[in-house]
Amino acid sequence: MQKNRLECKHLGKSFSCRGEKIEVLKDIQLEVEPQQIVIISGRSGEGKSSLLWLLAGIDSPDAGDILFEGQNLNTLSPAKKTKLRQKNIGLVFQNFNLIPSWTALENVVSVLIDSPVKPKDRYLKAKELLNHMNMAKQLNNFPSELSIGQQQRVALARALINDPILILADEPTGNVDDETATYLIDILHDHVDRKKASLIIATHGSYHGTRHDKYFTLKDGILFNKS
Amino acid sequence: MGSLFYAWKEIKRRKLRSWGIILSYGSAVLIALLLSISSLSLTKEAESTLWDIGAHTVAYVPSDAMQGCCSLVVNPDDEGFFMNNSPTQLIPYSLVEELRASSNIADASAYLLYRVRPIPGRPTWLIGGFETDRPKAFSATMAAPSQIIQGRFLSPGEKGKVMVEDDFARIHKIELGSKLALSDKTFEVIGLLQAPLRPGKANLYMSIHDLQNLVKMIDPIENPINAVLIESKGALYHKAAHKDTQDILSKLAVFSSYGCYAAGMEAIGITRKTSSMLFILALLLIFGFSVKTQSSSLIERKRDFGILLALAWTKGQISKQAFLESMILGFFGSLLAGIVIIILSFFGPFQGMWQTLPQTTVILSFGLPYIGSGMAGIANLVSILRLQSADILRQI
Repeated sequence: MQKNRLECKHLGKSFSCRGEKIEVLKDIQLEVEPQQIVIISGRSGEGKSSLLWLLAGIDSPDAGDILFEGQNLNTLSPAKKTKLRQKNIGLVFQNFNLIPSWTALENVVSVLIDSPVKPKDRYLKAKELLNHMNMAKQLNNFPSELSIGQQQRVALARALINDPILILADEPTGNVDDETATYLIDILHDHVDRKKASLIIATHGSYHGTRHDKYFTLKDGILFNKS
Repeated sequence: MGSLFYAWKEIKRRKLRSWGIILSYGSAVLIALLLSISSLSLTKEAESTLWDIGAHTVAYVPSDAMQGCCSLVVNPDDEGFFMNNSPTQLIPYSLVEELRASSNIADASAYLLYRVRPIPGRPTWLIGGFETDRPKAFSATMAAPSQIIQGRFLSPGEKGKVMVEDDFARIHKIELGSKLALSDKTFEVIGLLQAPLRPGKANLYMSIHDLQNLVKMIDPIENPINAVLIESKGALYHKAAHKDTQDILSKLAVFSSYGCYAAGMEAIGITRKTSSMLFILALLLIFGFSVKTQSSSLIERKRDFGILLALAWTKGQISKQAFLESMILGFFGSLLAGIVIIILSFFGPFQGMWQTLPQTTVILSFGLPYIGSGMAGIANLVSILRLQSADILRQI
């Protein structure tokens, strides 16, 4: 199996709500090759975020396997999953999830807590990324001092700073205008090309990218291939 | 860029929360210290009153009537050496010195009580001779300077002077400044006093040396005394002082003592217990407060921890940061309380209180927030280890 390949086999996830079992994901089958861009669309509450969190190793499936980097995530200890995430995965959350007491720069750098890179170089790299996203003047601003679009850019920069080979972006353009959305998607595409990374984007609206390799729709817990 | 860096940053950035925690810690330490100070001063005040309650005794060795009465003295009209209306044996002065060396006795002084009949056929007079240079035990057991109603108390080393009981003086028409002829000696009345009922109460008091010179003995002995006035080191030592006295004087020694020392002992015990309970309560307060403060602050930050876990921070890194934060805040809280206490100790009722605190109290008061923080840290660690980032993120 190719190292950077991501594969989900018969993935299932359910939650219980007031004693009732709700199946959010049913028998999900997904293969993502390096440099592929995959779009998963679906209405809110269909389980897109849940699927991305399973792929990131943040959550565990009830059924099925996730194979990434030649390893089955189900068999990895939480510590090993954390290491895998630190090195290889970039995460963009739907509501950004920035730490409110840290500046834009600090939020971006925070992912590199265990990195062998020197602190000074980490900040340089984070500055470069933020500059590239037209955030040069807001480096030391706290999230509350940034617009929604700016917060989204910081979240994106944080997802890219560890040079991930897999980017999991949950509504990365959900809160910005079309022009900014296109710009952010271009940045993601550029990263995919330069780092030979894979990109999975979950969206409930329109996708602003010019290219994608696979397009899925998630409905009633089932992933439909619309490519 | 380790946990300490992030802990310090967190403290600096969330100023309101940090100050809240510091003030909480500071208040807890301050309350504990003030409670300790109050309970200590309460104990001190109570003990200063209770300590000496009943802690005095008069010890003597009774004798049969023949030995105690006429057989030792030249003048057959004199009745001899008495205490509590019983004839007594004479005691060598060296035993008084031995008693003074006891660790349970604060002071012991010699006393001589002699029944003299100055005019044949008339009633006897009771003369008490005491060591004027050691008035402490005498004041507690016989007569104190505060009981002088006219004139003054005998000064150390004073000779040829007497103090007379007021009622005795009135009966015998003895006035202040008058001269009293006893045997072949004359004494000046320098004070009239009204002493309460005492076991060795006399009609008049003079220096023990004067009385020893006055008593004409058939077979004179050096410095004869017939009682020892004992001031034990306090109510708690009183029983032990009795035992030491019995060991030194004689197994036959009799004590004329005040039973209230037992009540004093009990009251001191109760006060000490109350004080200890107050202190323990204060410490528990600090401890509980520290744990609660930290736990509340962590609940607030659960969201951040969930995000950091998702961003690939380890639970160890987060726990370490939270622990360091609580220790730093605990330190500043204690420091704040210390500064407030020092400032307070310059003013009003708190003056000098800082110096009165025992070292253990200070160490415990300042140390417990840390132990509390540490315990809170461990409790936090457990709760952080149980955190699932996905569960937290779902709640955001």
